[in-house]
Amino acid sequence: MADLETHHELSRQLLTEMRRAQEDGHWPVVVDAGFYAVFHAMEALNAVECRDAYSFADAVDILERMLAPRYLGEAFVKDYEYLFYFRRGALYGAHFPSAEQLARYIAVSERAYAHAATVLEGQLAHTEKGGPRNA
Amino acid sequence: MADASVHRRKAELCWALAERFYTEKRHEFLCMNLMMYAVGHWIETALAVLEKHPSAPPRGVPHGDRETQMRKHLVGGKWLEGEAADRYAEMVARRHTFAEGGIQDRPFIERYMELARPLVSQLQALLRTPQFQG
Repeated sequence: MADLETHHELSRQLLTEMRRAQEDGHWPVVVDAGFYAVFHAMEALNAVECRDAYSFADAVDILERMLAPRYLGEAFVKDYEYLFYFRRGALYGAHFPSAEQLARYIAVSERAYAHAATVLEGQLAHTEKGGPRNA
Repeated sequence: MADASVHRRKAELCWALAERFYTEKRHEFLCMNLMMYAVGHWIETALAVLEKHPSAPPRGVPHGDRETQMRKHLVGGKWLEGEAADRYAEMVARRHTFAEGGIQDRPFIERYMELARPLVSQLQALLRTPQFQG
């Protein structure tokens, strides 16, 4: 529940923090920052059309019903779900991720972030040209 | 669900990272989350010993029921004062996962740490008592 620039900036910062935490060997921070970098990129895209997620259930509903069909695609949904449930299991549940699992998690975070950021930039460029946001 | 020993390990790991992020003035959003994870895992350590784990809402994470279980079993069982549960509820309420009000800054995290520290001390003391030693 913030404006577009806040989500966009937080997303960029968290991706940088994920990379730094990987170097530092701080796996809880890798997991947290990777997920939230993608989450806030998604929220920035929502903010373009005056939407906010009020909960994680809300966020995934909006993703599946609005963002995926119009902008992000099914592959992104699968990446987001993987990141969400990995984070829940690693940070709240019984699991301690292995180095290999973390490497995959980071790769998926990077891919999902890059995709959402590209889509967002496209939407912003389109908006600046005066076109409809959902052309 | 994790057992008590896993919750304890995760709480200690997250609190050590939270203190490090706080001291080194690292990213406040992540520092806030680390504090919350530590406190949550310590609460769940105690609840796990009592076999009173919280559940999670559909497509969500287990915050809501944690306070309910804490009040019913840890405060109700006289293991903690009601003030500890109030403090935990305040931590949940002030945590802006969805970036409400903007990105967390240094004054925010200083207030958040001031809120968290007494609760952390109370939980650590509780978990050192023989009843809660694994």
